[in-house]
Amino acid sequence: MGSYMIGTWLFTLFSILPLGLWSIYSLTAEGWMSNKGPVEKAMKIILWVGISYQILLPFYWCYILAPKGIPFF
Amino acid sequence: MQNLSAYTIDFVIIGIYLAIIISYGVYQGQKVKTSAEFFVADKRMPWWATAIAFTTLVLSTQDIVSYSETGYIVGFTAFNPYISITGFVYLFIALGAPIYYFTGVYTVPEYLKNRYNEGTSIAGSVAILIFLLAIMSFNTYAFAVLIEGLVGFPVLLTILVLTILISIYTSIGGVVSVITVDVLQAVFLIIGGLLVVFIGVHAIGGWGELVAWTPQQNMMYTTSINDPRYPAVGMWMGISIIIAAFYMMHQGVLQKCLAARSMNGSRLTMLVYGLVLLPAGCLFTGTPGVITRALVEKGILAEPDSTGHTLAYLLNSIIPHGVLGLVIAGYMAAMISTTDSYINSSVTVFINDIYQKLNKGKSDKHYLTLARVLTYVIGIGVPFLFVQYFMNIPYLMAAFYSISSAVVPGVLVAVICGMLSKKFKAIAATGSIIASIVGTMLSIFIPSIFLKPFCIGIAYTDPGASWFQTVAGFVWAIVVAILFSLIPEKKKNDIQLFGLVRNHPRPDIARKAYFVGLTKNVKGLHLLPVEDKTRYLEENKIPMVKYWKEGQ
Repeated sequence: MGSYMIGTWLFTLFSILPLGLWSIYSLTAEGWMSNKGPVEKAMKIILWVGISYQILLPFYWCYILAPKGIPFF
Repeated sequence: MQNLSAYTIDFVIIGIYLAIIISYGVYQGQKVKTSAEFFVADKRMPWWATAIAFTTLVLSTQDIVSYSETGYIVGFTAFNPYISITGFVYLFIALGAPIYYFTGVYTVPEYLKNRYNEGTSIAGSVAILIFLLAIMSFNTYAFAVLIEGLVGFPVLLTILVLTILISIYTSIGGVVSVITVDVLQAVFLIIGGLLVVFIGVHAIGGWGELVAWTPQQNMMYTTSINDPRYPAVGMWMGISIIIAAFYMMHQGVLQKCLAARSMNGSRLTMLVYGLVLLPAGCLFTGTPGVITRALVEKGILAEPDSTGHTLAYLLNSIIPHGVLGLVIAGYMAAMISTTDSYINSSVTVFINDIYQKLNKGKSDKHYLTLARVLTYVIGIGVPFLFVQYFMNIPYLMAAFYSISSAVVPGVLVAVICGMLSKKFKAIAATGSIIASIVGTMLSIFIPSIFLKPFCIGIAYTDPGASWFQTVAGFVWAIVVAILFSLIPEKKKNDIQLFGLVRNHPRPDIARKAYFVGLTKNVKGLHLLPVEDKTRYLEENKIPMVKYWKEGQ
């Protein structure tokens, strides 16, 4: 089991998390978070939802879904 | 060869589809009058059109065929790259988008030329051209393998017919045809892909049965660290490097994003694609393989004759004629929309970064005519060269990665380091591009010395060792970049680097400078007059909050 977990940790914590946080930091620094334009609003929603599921899904998948046989639906 | 009369209705549907696509592409392309429109649609595409075109660029036949094979071998793990790796869009959003958009460059080599010098640009041009041509060729090859598995047509004949058709409308319309046709093709792709999944899941008896008959080890999020074909560490490192390169230096990506109406439109294009459309795309690519494996495990189907024919085998087994034509039209849509993009991108790199440097001062009409002629040469001729190589490698993904790994890491290092630091030197950038190509070649031809140290969890003789070739190239690029940075070289000053490095100036000032520049017919920050650059750099020293409060 452990040999299957390594990839999940690598993918999630060493790729997605630092890059995701950096992009939010960069966009915040340029005042984008307070921008009310429709494109910027859509970006904000997609970015937060995207980062959240990309970080949470792998662990949910590995530790909860996979042992049960992935009952997706 | 199969009994072709059984496929008559399917051929009719595919023929109607091709007629619609080519007519529409030619119609749209007649509006193209300048080379700017041919290459980047002159920044007039809405973000949703570029996002859809972008998705069809990536969700190509190479993915559908090769991930079906992957899904058959490793199960649901094939979904992983579509969920995790797409996170590299953040790299483009934070770093690439402001620089590429506001400098208004057409190509990555053009960026390298402005950021470094002509030598780095030429090294980058050659590397990127090889990368684009390899992907384009692999894409047509993958579709030809699918057709071979379905009806037994020879691979080379299928490639010849399709590349001629694609070259026709790409040469007429350039990127305008490509993007508008891509939007139409996305509809075909989604319909065709969903049909296979629904019919496949129904054939095995529902989702519960699919999960029940999938082996337990094929349900993990990633593969094992010791998997000889898909080693977890190799996949993480190899795919991460290639996907990061894909977002930061891929000509097709750049052209699609530059075609958006605003910089944030480019960012939104990337976000919608990476975080919404692509994760949904794993349904089309990985699932057919998972379904095939479950059908085999349940005893409904026998083993396919080759894992490369997994998708063709599933289609022939469960999809009724008529529907099959619609599905193939969908896959053909994916193949065409990717291939046309790569042809257009390759022509763009060749004309802008190689030909124009050797033949300066020609008219715009001259470049446009040459671009159209070259579209036929590249579109039809190049796939035949690469396919000879691919046909000798039995494992689809290995064929693709062994080519792309050689050229990608060095350019990635040059682009990212150049964007992050004003201190990164041209000699280090050029050295890293060449070093990654040499290092990867050594790891391919002398693996016992140059690949073995990088293989974590598996032996260098295992088929999955090709994942570590990219890592080898990347390490070589980094080492050479560090060593060459120690060589004395005259650095570019702040004025010369204006707009080409992150936060130099920061994006809010860059945006203002860009639009002010447009009113003076200056289409890029680095092209602004020196006095303007000096003034904006002074403004850049004022903290952003104070800058806006003072109503600058």
